[in-house]
Amino acid sequence: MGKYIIRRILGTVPLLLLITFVSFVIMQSVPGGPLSVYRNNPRVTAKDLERIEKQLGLDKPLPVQYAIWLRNLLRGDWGESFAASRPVLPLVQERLLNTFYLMGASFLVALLIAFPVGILSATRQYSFFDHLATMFSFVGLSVPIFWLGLVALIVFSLKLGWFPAGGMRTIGSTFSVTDRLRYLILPMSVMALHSAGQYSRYLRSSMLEAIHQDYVTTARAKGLSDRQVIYSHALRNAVIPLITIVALDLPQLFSGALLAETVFSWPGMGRLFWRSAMRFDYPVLMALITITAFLVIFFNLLVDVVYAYVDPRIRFQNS
Amino acid sequence: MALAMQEDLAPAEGFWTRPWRRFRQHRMALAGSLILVVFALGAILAPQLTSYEPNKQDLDNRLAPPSWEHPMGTDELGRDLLTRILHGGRISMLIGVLAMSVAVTVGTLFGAIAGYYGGRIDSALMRFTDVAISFPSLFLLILLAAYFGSSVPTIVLVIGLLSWMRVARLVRASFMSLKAQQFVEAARCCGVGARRIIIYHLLPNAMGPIIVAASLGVAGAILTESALSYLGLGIQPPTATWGSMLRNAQDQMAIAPWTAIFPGLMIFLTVIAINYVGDGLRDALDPRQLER
Repeated sequence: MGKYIIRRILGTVPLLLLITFVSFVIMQSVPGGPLSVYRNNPRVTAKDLERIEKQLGLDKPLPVQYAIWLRNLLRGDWGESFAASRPVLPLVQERLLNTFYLMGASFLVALLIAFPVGILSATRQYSFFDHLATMFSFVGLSVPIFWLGLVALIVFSLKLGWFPAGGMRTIGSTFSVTDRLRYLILPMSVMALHSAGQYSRYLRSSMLEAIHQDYVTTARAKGLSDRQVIYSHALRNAVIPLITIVALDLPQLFSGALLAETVFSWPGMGRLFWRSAMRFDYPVLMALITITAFLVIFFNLLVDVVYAYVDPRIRFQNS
Repeated sequence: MALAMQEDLAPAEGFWTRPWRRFRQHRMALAGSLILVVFALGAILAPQLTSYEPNKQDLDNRLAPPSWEHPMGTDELGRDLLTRILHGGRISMLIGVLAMSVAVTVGTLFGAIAGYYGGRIDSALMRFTDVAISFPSLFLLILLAAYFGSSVPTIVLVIGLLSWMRVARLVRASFMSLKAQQFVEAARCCGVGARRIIIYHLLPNAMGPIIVAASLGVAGAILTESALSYLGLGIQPPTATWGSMLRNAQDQMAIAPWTAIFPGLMIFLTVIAINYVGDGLRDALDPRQLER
């Protein structure tokens, strides 16, 4: 088991290097160079530009620049934001936590919706409820997150006045759970609806598969109740494939968070990324890309390890 | 010889009869097709259907609510919303179809090569696919669109080149199972080259899943384009796309909610219609899915 984990961790290193290198090249290939923002600024002279270029090491060839960036990163130095003239790390840190808060909450709500819906529509296949659930998942899959957010704002914030129209908390007020919740509910629900449709759909089909397995029939034949068969036999096995789907969905979740953050003026990393892209603030962009890629790869690894732990066949298959 | 075999593989009479029958039984897929036909006609006939110009401003009529003259109201520059939606549909749907074509071409190429040759080529290509799939594509899209501009060809290429991964995996999987079958062995015995086998023998047999993936790909591309345009990185004004029409809607939604509702509704209806059609195609073309 230990050997398997070590092999997998080593396998992620080239992956991370590749992703960061490609992003680095993309960022440096901006027409006009990474300093093109400064070029339009009349207060910045050609001499200044040259100085900044030297200071940031932009006059060196690309692979060398990447190596420098990587070396600094390994020392814990993420560089300095062009736009804010501040170190990148504290700037990114706060935003990241805000995004995780939103993503985590909506992920939980998505699972809370998906489980009952998935189980019920599998156990009552082709019932009215099943058709309704199918429709729900198609809607979740098809609705643009940002438009759903806009409509939610119009209805629940502008017309009904139940929730604030954006932000994360009332500015200037002391921390209170109800205040946080009031701001959280709309963006969270919009994101959760999107994911819940997909999760419930997968849970339904893996439940259906599990229900028709021999061991489930055996359990029934032994006289176990429906409830026991479904919850302790079928569901346990049906959840395993769902783990993969959820892990694979993580990049999508990040993309969705970016849109939700834009609609609801949520001070998260998605909005920071968008703003930094508009300003060509590439130290911030590189930091966000590296962290996101690391997280996605880390979660995939975690899922694989959990899998290998649960199912020994995987461990030996690739060795 | 090869020519004779090729003729044998050409669709015999009634190739589409059974899939069509199955497709017809999927009521939502039929309804979806109908919606798509109506929307496509609306986009094609846009200039004939309305008497307004999509970019003509009418400053006396700013943010007018829906009425007989303007069935969907007007926007902040007094432009007729329905006209802009019809014209915007042209670009949104065009980008969806073109980006999907790019994605399917690249994905099929990668998947076919990986699946047919296997071994080291396969693991290299699949590792590359893993990298591409494990990254939040909207982030890269934002970068590329911000840096390289946002004309229709750029947007098509950028979306297409970031969404081929699922197709590649699908094609690889079906090639791997197909290449072990006897007809491929027979072709190889006759001295048919690898390229010929891939194009004339394997590809036609893998068409079902590719068509399904392609239809769902159009839906994904339309959603992606609208998200990019909403963020201000898609097709630039004054040209209308459904996404870019939503860009200013948030500032006005308190006084003119229709500017936020109608364009998004079009995206939603189109995407859900395509997804239902894709679901129907899956039932029709991929019968294994039904055995349950």
